[in-house]
Amino acid sequence: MDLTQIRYFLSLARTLNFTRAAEACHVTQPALTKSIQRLEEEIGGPLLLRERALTQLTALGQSMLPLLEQIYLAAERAKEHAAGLKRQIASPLRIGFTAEAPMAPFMPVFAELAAKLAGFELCLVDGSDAGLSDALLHGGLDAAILTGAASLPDRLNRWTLFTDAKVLVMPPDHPLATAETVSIAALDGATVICRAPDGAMAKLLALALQEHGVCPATRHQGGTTSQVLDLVRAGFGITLSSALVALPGGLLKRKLSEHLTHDVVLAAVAGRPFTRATDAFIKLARAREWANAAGETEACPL
Amino acid sequence: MALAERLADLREARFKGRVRIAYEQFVSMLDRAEVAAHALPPGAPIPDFLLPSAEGRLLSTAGLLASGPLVITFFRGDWCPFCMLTLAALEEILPEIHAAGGTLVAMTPETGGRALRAKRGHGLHFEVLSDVDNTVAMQFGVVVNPPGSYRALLSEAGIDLADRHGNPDGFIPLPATYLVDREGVVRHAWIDLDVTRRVEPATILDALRFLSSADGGR
Repeated sequence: MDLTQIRYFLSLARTLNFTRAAEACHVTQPALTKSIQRLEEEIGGPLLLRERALTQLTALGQSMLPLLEQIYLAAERAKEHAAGLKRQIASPLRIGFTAEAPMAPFMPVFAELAAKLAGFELCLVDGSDAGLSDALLHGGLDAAILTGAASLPDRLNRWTLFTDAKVLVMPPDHPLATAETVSIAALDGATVICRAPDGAMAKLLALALQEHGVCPATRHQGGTTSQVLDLVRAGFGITLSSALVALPGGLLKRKLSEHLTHDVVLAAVAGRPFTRATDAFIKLARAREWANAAGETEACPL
Repeated sequence: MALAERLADLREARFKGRVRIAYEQFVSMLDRAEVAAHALPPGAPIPDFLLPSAEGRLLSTAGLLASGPLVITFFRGDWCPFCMLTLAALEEILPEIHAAGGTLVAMTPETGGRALRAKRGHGLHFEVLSDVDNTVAMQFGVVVNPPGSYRALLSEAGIDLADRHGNPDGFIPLPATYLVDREGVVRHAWIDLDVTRRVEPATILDALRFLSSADGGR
């Protein structure tokens, strides 16, 4: 199929009139009709019901309409973006990152965008899955990296990029630091620190503890990741972190024998026109081999 | 052995019974829909695009054309043995393509690192781009909607196009190859409806050499 066919179909879907659709597309009616017939041949069924003076979409036509609209818009935007590349206009990109998502694997992507898009401006926003989803829907963000732990609104397209493994973080003198791998059971009676009680990390930990019948002695809470790590370094307890997060000095990572993971999900609003930078970012992120990218990211040695 | 013979051998081995019937129905549908006649023709400018390479770099039309004429070949993915056999044949003539001043680029709608897997797994040394959501193939007019019978075959073989493409469309590109001059104009379009019958690499090379000599080595 080609964009011309789709453009003709979209015009016909809007006007429900072959004559008016042909005029709008600046072609003869026979040319438009033939093009629609070819599209129907390819799609595998009639897209329109032609009944005397009345034209309407078939059930197949109605089901294909949003898809073809999206394809047409995506191709048109791709053309605009490529043209924009030549004109060197500004390329803003506002991305939300949930606290639990590691940033490091995304650096090569941002670097590529900065290298290839003149006027690239990156704006990173911190937040929870719910808050970032909301900001996306209301136009405050272009894309978001979420944990996908909770269900996302239907209006968001989502792509799972990779699975992030969790590790325990502790000071070197912590009793659990002697072993390379720690089991969940060993956390019984320990002091754990989380960033937010309703965050994906806290929920993941709570679920794991519950499954193993483990109860920490104390639960502290930090407002930011930095505050949590400061508390850990000061000996207040241990925390859970992405294996890919670079830690400040004076802290160790220990693997968990029971694998705790969550997905790292890219989200964007379906059908919304993207900026050039957003389009390039989403394509780079979706095309990328994340498993190795995540594995090759320099994490602090255990 | 010519590509045609290698493809014929593979076809003989793989396409039997209802697989052959479903595939032939697919090709017949494409023929009836005259898709080849409506793909981007010689004389037309190719679209401006910006796509991720297998290694995660952004490559543009202008950037690729800066080196000279471009050979763009569309392929479905490393799940398609016919596509990979064709790419292997193009890899064999890659030194000659370069000697003739050309650049070879392959495009696939596959995402999630599959372009890289196809490139490394098959020892390819040319750029393999992820045409995410087939946006560029659409602008070339080489995107097709496989019929239900063919989609069912793919599904039975464990080929999940929705997962591979990151969208539920299930559209795939025609096995098309284009020769584009330095100005970004199509000089040859080989639109093969049947993935088991592709243009011979020697034909592409001849056309490239002719184009390069006509350009006077500019």
